[in-house]
Amino acid sequence: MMPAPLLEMRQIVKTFGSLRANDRVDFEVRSGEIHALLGENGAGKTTLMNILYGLYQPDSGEIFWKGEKIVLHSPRDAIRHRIGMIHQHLMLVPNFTVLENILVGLPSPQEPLLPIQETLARLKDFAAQYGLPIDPTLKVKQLPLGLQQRVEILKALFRGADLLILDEPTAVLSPLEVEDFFAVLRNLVDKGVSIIFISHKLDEVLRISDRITVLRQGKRVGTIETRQATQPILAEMMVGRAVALDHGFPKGGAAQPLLELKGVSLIRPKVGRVLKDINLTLHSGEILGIAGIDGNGQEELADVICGLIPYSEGQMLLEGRPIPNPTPRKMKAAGLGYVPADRQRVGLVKNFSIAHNLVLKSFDDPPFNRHGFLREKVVHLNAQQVVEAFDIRAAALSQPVGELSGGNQQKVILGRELKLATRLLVAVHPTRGLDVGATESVRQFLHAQKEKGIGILLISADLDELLAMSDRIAVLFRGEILGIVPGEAASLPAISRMMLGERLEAIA
Amino acid sequence: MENMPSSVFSPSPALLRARWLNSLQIILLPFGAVLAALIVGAILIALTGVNPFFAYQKMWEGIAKSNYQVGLVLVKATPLLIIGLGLGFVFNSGVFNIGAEGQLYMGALLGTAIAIQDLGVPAWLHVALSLLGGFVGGGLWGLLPGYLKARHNINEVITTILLNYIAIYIVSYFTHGPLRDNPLAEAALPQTPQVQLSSQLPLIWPPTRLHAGFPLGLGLALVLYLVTYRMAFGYKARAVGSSPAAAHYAGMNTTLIMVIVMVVSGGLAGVAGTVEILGVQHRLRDMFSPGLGYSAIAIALMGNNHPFGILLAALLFGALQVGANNMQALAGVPVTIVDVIQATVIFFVAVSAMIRWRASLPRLFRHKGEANG
Repeated sequence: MMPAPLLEMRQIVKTFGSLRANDRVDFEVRSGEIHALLGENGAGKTTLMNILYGLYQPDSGEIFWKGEKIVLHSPRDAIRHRIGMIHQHLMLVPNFTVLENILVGLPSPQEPLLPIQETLARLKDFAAQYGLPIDPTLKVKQLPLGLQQRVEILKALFRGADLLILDEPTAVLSPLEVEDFFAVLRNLVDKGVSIIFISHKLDEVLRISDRITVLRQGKRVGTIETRQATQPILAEMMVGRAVALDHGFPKGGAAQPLLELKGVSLIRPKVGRVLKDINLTLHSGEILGIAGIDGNGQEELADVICGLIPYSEGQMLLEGRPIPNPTPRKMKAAGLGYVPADRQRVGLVKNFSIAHNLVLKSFDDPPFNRHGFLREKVVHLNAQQVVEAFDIRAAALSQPVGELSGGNQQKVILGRELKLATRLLVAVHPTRGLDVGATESVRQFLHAQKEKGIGILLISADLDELLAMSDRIAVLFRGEILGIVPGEAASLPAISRMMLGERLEAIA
Repeated sequence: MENMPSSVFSPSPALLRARWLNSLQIILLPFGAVLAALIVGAILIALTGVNPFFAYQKMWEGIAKSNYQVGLVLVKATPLLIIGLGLGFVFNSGVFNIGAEGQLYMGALLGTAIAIQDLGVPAWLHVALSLLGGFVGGGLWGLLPGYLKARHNINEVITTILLNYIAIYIVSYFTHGPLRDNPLAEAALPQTPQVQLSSQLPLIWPPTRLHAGFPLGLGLALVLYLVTYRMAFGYKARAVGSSPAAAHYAGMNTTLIMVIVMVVSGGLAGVAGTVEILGVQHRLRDMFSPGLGYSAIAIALMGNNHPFGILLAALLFGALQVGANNMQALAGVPVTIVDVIQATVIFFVAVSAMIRWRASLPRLFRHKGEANG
């Protein structure tokens, strides 16, 4: 006899305009389980959870909580029912201390004063009880992301939570932090908290959850016990067809030095050294991976190489010839393509059409420009070719790129940049936020470039991706390269430790 | 693109309907704004004891009763059109120039200084030189805040507003001092002498007051349309306005573009000021502009920064002005009420621009939902 579920969502429907984000979704959570909600981007996971947290109202459907039907008008209602949610993007005040962040919005027994002493005492209890030690006097902005997430969890527990919703919680963590985090989750379950774990990472879901519900295009595909699940089964449920998973790409290739950085540093006023004495050589036909936790200088490194930010010290050489003051134009002329980290803000002009975005860097050159006028026909033809070659799904070439899905936006950028990348390509987080299918095709495009002898600098926070694609992997920590290792699975422990600040020499 | 692969992202009828509604909005909202202002105006007119229907009848007659009135409408629309074109151009690049009033004054000052000289050149050349002076005067007054924004990231809204005051007082100084007409007379007005006959804009539709400034404005509208939507420069300028980070990434010289659009918009305001002197007033008076540079901001917004939209908006404002004057003269509506109605139009136009902006939010919101799913 099954115990009555803690939570039951029945036939939930939610539409946004013409999009059915949730289409008659059933979902249940048992008391004391970690239930993973799995699906590609856009499958409706976050929508379903936002409904459960009272952020959205469903068009139809019912929610039963501890056996009773409830209606959630706002997160306040959800909190009252002891449902907590940790968002993908943490919602903390960076300038507040841990304690102040936890106090935000808490009712005080001694209004208008804050219950500082009580909270401190209770926080100590909580930290001990749930195994979440933290110094409450530190400012949140001083904490690494892993600890910031811990603050969010404490915040939710403080408000009272029998059910915690975690939206892609591991996206911001390093591999070692993920281990700690999973230990915390198991501890929480032992203390009687149930957990919904949203993810699109198969291996994590298989490791941490008890049951898995898969969503695809707004519909529930099914729910299975984790011990009966395997990666291929889950991938097929997510995508709707069998998928080749994580196969490595052939390594090695030609080895002419293409781009050399010698002692390159970047000093920012008030911030200090963002890049410290970088020495790197990228060879033709090579994929050089750059690993590191977000915010350790990866994006600055890419911007410096592509001429967006002038470097402060050192030297950059292309095929042995120094490039004294690189600018985006110079680097483009030298045969560089750049897939930037922020595709929405930097890589694309969102309200321009697909066709116009595809000539963002070449609109001034023939054949697109004649006597200062843009030749719309040529621009259109170019777009037609790229859209076909890259299988960009769009309603029309004149559609604003802002209306495309993330994967198709990325293909627009790739379609433009791969054409320009006649010698080298810098790609930052090229598959971040893309679904399994789009990720696979982006990786194929990159690999095809490598085969053509183009040198690729691949910056990614996804270690699996780096290991699958890169010939070598350099690890960036606080603007410094701590070591370069071969791009093979055996390097993983060393990479993980370098990501947290150990030098390669110290590890070996 | 019938042969393109269909997908979940191809436009559903709902999406197409949303787009169509959006275009409809761009056209309908300004009309709604005018209608709302007229309703508010009717209430105010009724409060002063005049029958609003009678008043509006006089207003309509003022606009369309005769060729002469139509000519007046076009004359009133001319400076608004030319300033509005420059403002639409600069707003498209994401630079918020509030300084058209000052640029208008500085352009009019330099243009008039040339127009009052007896140069002994043919009329067309004298006119051209005066207009060029107007462009240079206004352009320099736009260059300053443009440079400060591009080079030192100083907010152009603040600098342009402050420069308006400086410009108005500089013109005040010249009309009271160095350029004053007949400075020895006791009761001389603060104004320059009349411009030379050779520099006056010819009347092109006698007996109406319509002068050559209006076709000049039409020509400028066409030029700006081509530059903005057909030329590579306009593509760049719009890219800078929509997404400065993307423009920088693509290797565009964003700071230079900002400076250029500021100079062009200031220059056009200066041309508008000079056209007003050469075509209508024939001398530069202290405080000669009734806030043309500010009204033109509303016109650019109402026209959605598009040259042809700005043309329509300028004609509408010209008509309202001429009609309101007639209403004041023949229906006895106090002049202050007329001012209030005009201000109300501007207010509602601004509100409608906000509504349009807000209306685009749900779409963004939906995309967020899609992306995070």
